[in-house]
Amino acid sequence: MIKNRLIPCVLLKGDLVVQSFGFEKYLPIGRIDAVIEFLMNWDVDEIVVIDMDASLQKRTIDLGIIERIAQKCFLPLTIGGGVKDHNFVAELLKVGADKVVVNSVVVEDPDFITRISEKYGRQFVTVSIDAKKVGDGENSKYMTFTNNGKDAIGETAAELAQRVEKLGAGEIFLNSIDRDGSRLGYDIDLLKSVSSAVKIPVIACGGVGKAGDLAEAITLGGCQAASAANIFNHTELSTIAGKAIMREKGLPIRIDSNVKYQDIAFDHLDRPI
Amino acid sequence: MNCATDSGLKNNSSGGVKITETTHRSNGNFKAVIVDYGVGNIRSVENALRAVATQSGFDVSVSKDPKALQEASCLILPGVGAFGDSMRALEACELIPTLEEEVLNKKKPLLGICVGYQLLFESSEEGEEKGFGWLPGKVVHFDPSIDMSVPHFGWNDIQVKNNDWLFDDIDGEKNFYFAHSYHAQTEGDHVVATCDYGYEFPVFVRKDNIFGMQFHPEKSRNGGLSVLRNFLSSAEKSPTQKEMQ
Repeated sequence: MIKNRLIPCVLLKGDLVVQSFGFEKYLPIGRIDAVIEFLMNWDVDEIVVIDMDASLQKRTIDLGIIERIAQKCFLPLTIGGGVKDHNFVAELLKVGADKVVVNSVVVEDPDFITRISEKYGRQFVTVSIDAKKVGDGENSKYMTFTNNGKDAIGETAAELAQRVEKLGAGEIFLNSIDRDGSRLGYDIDLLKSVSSAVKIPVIACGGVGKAGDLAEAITLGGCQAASAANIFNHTELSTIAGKAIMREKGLPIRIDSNVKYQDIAFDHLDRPI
Repeated sequence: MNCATDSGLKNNSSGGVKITETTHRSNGNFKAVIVDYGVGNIRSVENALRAVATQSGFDVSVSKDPKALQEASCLILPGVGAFGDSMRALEACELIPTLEEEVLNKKKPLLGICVGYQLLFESSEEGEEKGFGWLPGKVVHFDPSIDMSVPHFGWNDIQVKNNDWLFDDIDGEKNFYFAHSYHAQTEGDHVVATCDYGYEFPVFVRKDNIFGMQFHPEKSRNGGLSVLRNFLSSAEKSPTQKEMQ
């Protein structure tokens, strides 16, 4: 029987792995090599790596990083971040990527999806959809955005999913902007709206706060795979968070890290949020 | 289609990886050559084979040079992409006569992966081009009447019919990573294993020295590495290899 998949998403800003909160705040985690190494040993089913600044900064994800991690990653590796050029896709494949995830091309160059789908096969192209609830009550809709949630596309998540399915997308990576970093669990209504609109698999992301949330992507959301980013990166009490809280309590504490956690709140488990 | 491959690629890949350094210590007798015809996930397959080679002492290389294919102990034919494109790329690289000679006449062990596996059959609904036709049967699109998402993505169980030794070292469940919209239709003793996705279809074949698998062993973590290791071990013991030594 086909397995439901657990797919950690590793978010990069340049060469640094980060945790993301509402597409606005970011906490640095560290080097990607260590993250890939523990994910490989933690029995996950696939890994998605996205450089979230690439499109905004008009560049592409670093090929050297992908080449390095691919040598240790005997799992499907999906790469995103400024993927909008045919030659770059060929470069990504050469360094060991298995699939690409695209986002801004849905506005800038939708035919790109068709072109790479025809060349490499439908399963090669994942389209990420970032959606946010707009409006209240019965009139509310899940509208989609590009450029890290900044630019409205004018389509609902379900409409966009149907459009890219027709263009040749093999999977949808569906992220909730509202739930990103919230630890409130998935936005189940969002997941259902998209998973019921398309035949291609939907990967749910955004909001996972505890391991138990992951199953709901499938049992309640109708998706084929569960993804999360922040939860897999030391959501337990970190040393720096501990020190930041100690200092906040007025204790004389030395903080030598670049990360001071000064303007960061903590949840009931004292995890930075 | 051009025979587009990057000759600089191998140089880029040799830096700073322990796995690569270890292969230099191998005895050099056994050479696994990945056929590079410009499409597909050559690097993923290379990375996985190198990881296996570290333990086994094999040489792993990637080449589109007919001479390298002739000198190889065994061949790996990878592939991601469309059937027609892949066959045209092999033709553009002028590799088809060499492959036929090495595999059919010299009986050199060959492993086709994903589209590389599909090419072993006679034809495909995904392109006008003929396949190698080394195995009977054709490649078809998943029956649209099945109530399942297509492509068939992700991890699925397989049912082993024969050649159990190919799965040595795999404890427990045998599941592998799939990513495809087309599958082979073929019947006979050469079907090593099948998979069920809407219906049962073959996913692993072996006819004498010709092996093929629809799933991606290079992306199936420990189980996939075991299957690759078992293929290489058998290739090392094959009659062709003994002659070469």
